[in-house]
Amino acid sequence: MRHPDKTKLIFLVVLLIVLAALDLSFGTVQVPLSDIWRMITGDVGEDQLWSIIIMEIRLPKTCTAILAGCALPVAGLCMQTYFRNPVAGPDILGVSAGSSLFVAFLMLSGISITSASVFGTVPIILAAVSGAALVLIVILFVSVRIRDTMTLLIFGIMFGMAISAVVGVLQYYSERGALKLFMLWTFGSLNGVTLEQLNWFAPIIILSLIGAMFLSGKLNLLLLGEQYAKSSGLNVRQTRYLVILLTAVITGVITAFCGPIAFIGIAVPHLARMLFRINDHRILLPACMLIGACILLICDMLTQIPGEDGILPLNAITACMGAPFVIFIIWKQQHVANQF
Amino acid sequence: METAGPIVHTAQLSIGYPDKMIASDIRFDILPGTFTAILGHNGTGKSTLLKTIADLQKSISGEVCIDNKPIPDYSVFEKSRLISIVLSNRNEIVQTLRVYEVLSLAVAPHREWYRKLSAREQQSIEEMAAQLGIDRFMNRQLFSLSDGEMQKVAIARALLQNTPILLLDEPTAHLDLHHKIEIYLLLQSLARSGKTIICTSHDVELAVKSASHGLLIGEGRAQFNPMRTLIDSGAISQYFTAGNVQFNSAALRFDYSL
Repeated sequence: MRHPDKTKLIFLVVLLIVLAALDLSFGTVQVPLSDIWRMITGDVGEDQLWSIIIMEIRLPKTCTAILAGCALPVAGLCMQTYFRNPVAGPDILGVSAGSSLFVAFLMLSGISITSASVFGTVPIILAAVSGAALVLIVILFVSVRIRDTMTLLIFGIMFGMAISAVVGVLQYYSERGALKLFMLWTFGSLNGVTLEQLNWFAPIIILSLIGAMFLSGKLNLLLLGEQYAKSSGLNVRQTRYLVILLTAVITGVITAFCGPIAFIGIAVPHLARMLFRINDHRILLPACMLIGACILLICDMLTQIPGEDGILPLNAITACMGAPFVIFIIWKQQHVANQF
Repeated sequence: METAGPIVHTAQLSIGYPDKMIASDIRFDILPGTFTAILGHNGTGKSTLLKTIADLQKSISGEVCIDNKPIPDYSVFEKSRLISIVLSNRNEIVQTLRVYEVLSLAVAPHREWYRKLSAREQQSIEEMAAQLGIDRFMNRQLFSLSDGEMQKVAIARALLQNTPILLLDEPTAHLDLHHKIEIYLLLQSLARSGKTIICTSHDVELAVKSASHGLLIGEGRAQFNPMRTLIDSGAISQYFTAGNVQFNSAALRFDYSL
């Protein structure tokens, strides 16, 4: 590892810790940092209300933001490298569209509408993961037949569009109440994950991130192009399955718990490349994780801006920050396509 | 590889795509330490043959054997210890990579993410870079290199793979004469040091002068022989003589009038 890379990574770790602390303290009820530290280290203290707010609402939310922020760009980077396409992202293969379709079926048919909290109910998790898994299986099947990555990418985009159309039809024929709940889910939210759900969410995401690190050497070889990678001894087919599996698990699980969070997956890898000026995935992957987590924490704090009047939709914030950034990237590096 | 037998061998090979046969009845026995030039007009299947030997493309029928074992029977990893390749399109490799990144991927392709390059690996990269004269721009990104510089990086990458067989697809395309000669001299000396070189080329004059063997491919068929035999039998001059372009077998050059 080159020295400046190490320094930048350490800086990002420190930034992440600061932002996480701020995220815990920030909200309609301000809790001083010293009290937060006291509560996390096990001393509940006198103020029961603060303790509930921090331990049961904000801590799961902050952890979710960090985990989702780490994982989404990892899925994005894997796909950008694998498809050799700067605008590839976790939602591009139709995986999160698949999740949305299944969640739409469930929510718009009114099955789970009786539950008070829409976010994170078990049926929705099951629906989103199985929707992602179904698309994954289709993509796996297609990728065996279609060897060309560009064709597969176009297939994924078309697949996503078709699914969105079906979701649109479902929305058109659904009740007002169900529609609103579904729309809320598509806005994305970090608030839906409870401490118990975190017991599922965290291990899956952390395992995926470790798995991604073990893929980094293979991803580096893919930068040489598929033919050179193959002649360097890379099992390209196996790598393809691993990349698709990793992307689907990350996207499916996060979509289930937080809704389809936009733009983090596609924008953060570019930010990491600009900041580190490197292609080595052994450094880019941790860089993406740290930058993604920091950005999602900032987005989460921005959703609190209305204060007493509730919170802004997370996807509105990520899109407001992400869309201009992606346009800026394409604008500034018009040779971006040649680089890949 | 001191065995007397051929290192690359095929008896009855047909190449092309499932719906389009490009050449058939190809046979050759390539000995270790020889330099074979695959010659032919555009579209006759030179690159297809090269990629079939590298097992980057399936043959239509027949198989290429290395050390008497069909190539598809080797694992991907075993193949990477036998054959290295230089492809003709420089954009195969992501052009934002730096030269040292490409070379370190060649010397330790399957390094786990927590392992650094060993001192020996580092040293072999430096030696190879010095040998090919690319040590001056190890930190530059590929897109900033000229075609000649890029070609040397690609060759250094393949050589660092340290395989007995080296395949090159038109290594001198887009290069000026000076660089072309440099590359052919390098290939010649590599063959003398024991590597088996197989290379496609449009630079007939240079290839004829430097290669020990020739594989002439055209009209769906192929002819493999020592280069001297191909020249003396008139096969080369017959193949490349058309209109007012004539191959001069005595001077090993093209004669033409404009």
